[in-house]
Amino acid sequence: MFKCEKGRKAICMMITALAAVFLCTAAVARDVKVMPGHTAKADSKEISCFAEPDSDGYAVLPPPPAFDSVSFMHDKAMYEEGLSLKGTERERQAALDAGRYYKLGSLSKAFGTDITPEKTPEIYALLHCVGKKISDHRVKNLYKRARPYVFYNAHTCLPDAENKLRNTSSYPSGHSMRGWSMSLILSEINPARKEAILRHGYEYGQSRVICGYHWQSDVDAGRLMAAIAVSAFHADPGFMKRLRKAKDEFAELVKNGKVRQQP
Amino acid sequence: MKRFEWKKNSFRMALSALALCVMFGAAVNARMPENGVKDKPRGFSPAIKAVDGHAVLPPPPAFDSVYFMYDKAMYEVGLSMRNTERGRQAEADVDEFDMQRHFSEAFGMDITPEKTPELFKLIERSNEDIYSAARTAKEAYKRTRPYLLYNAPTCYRPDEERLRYNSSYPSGHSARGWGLALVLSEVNPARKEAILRRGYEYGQSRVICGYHWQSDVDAGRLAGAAGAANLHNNPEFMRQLQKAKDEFARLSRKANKGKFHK
Repeated sequence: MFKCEKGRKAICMMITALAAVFLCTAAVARDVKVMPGHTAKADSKEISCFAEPDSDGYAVLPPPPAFDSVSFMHDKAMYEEGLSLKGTERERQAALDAGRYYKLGSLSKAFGTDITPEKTPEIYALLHCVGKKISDHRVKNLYKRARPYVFYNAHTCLPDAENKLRNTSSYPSGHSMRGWSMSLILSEINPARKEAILRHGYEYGQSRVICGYHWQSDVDAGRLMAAIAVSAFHADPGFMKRLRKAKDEFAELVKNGKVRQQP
Repeated sequence: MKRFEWKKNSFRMALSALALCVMFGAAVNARMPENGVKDKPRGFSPAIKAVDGHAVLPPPPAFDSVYFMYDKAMYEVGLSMRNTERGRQAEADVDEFDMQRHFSEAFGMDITPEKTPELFKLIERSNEDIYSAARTAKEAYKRTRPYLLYNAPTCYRPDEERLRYNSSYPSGHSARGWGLALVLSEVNPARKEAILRRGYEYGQSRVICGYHWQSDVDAGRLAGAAGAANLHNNPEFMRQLQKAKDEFARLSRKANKGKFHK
């Protein structure tokens, strides 16, 4: 540590303390920030985003399966398959994926380079906006479907979020929508790793079934909505501008050898 | 006299040149259509690698799974629709190389080489690249199609032989339908609801027809979305998309102008 001179000890210590506080906040802020999808409070500068796609396209979705349908039997079978994964690595991943914010750790691995506000500000901002502007509530409000853990009066892999989501509709799955749409967009930015990226986005949706938060048909519908939203984004000049910047940033990373091309 | 001979010679040369041209043309023509089948369509620049669908998609449902029970139930729902208007639509949807016609109504414009050459070309090329996202999965899973498992007729019997040895999983038609709907709603966002619904239903037609299981169609739509995303990485596609958008803007302006005059 620093040695403070006798005469200025008080001021010096104050400065050291302030510096320590500042460093701590910065560290915390950094942790909070790795969560695109919603504006985290710690975000110092507001990221300006493109417009939210209107809900027109979502009218394509079929209604959720009827209670007496074979599709719902499939939903229930998949719920039980999810239960069977209890205690496995896959279930732990599902619990990680269940957070309100998209954890970029595993996605970064699939993508081939870390996605953080510091290392990849443009790609991060793009994902942040996609997560923020993609929304499921309008379709959710059409169908007030009970979630699996509510239907069975059981627990999920992440009990913390159970109460908050208890009265929200299960159909379609918003997480699946975010996962599939972000992976579709990232596969455009790093086509060399598109299969790993898309696989990650696919599994992110499956995590919801494994966790007990969603039926399989919710997840399937979420993926349809994701594709629709990505298509709508592409017709938006604001999105295209952000995408262009993200692609340029990525090209720079590739040039500097900062991207793992092999899985 | 000499002059006349020169003229005769040049006339002969012109004739033989013409004959050569005709022969060459015939040779080119002979290479193209084979017993009336259309020239094989091609995609955009092959420099952009297709999505390896096998690495992305889950395997098809096992025979003893509830998911396969669902597939079979949907097959029967399809059977129940064969003799309806929807069944006839499914039959009209069988040609996967005629996507321009399939999407014309939903798009709100006749999509033909004469009226909308750029949009026509965009669809023709994209159609192939989108399909390629389903190819590796098809090769990996040699799934039996419903009509073959049940040894039953489809809605359109002439295709039964052609598709006998083509894997059921995932559905290429569904990939094309969904992927193209995603691309076309970029060109005409005002009609995206109709376009996307058409693309979605185009996949359902395969179940109604008995050519595909529901899970083939579901996986086909995932492949279609992946294929459409991959197109955006192809500069040739992006150029063609812009041309189609410009053409569409021009034609819409023209159409609106007509309306004001009325």
